[in-house]
Amino acid sequence: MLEIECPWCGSRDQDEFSYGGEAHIVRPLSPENLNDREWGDYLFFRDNKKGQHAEQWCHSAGCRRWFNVIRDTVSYRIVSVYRSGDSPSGDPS
Amino acid sequence: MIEILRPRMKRERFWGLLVKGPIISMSQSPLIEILQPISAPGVSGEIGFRMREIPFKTHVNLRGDANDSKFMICASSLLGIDLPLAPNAVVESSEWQVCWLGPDEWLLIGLADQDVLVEFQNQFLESHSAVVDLSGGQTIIRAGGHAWRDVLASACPLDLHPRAFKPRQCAQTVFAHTNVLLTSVSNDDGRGVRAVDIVVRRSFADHVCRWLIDAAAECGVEFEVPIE
Ligand SMILES: [Zn+2]
Repeated sequence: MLEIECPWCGSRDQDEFSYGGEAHIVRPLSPENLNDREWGDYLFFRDNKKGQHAEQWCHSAGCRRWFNVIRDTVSYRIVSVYRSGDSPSGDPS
Repeated sequence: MIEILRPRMKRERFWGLLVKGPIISMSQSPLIEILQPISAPGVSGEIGFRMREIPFKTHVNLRGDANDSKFMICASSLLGIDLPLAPNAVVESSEWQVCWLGPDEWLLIGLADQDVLVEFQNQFLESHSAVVDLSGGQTIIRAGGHAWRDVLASACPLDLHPRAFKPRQCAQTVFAHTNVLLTSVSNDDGRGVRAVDIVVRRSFADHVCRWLIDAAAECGVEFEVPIE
């Protein structure tokens, strides 16, 4: 069980959160210009990194805000937490 | 068995039809099935956990931009108090208890049967906002007694230690697989019940009450019939 630091509510149990997959996936600006392979890559393929992984979480049973977490997929240690629109260091990007 | 049925003389619009004169509708406590007082001392002979419902309050969900000064000023003038901006803060005016639910979302709990929705919606019309009446959809269970933290911890992942969950704070969390809002109550209501308000959806209130009664059996439980 993880203990996750919500950027608004503070430290809460994983029970209160839902996982939203890899973070910082940018939707292509003009999807109509992509071929099937490129569109499939955007839609379905993710990095499955070993090590520090940027992912989205939602405090779904709490304040219902989405935010980003850098989590080590080997140790499960949460390295940092930052609001959507911010960069991992915590500064607005 | 006490029937908690109360005539309400407020709605003039009923199922989309405009009807002359007030419509009498009935409010019913969601705990109607267990509306008999329970008093069962625990193994030590004491009552360690007390609870009762606070039904029929006015619950309003308010959403808006905290950076919009027009919205914030409007809220302050309607509620008599500024909306709290600190996460999980609770503030109170003479008529309203305002709980922080998110950076752009608050729960307003007012006296029973406040017919304020139309006025609120009109007042907030000029800002990008949402005002939703939840009065019929949720209720409040007030719990106390020296063992309340242990009883709630039986099915709640929130850190309930006074160091973490302080007076005038609220927290949305899960209790017994159900979404609840816990509000730390600092004032005694004069009946020996104080500690925490559990705001729960109406359809889950019976389940939550029964869970609490069961979880508190060891320390002793008292369930009072609702009063207004
Ligand atoms: Zn949160």
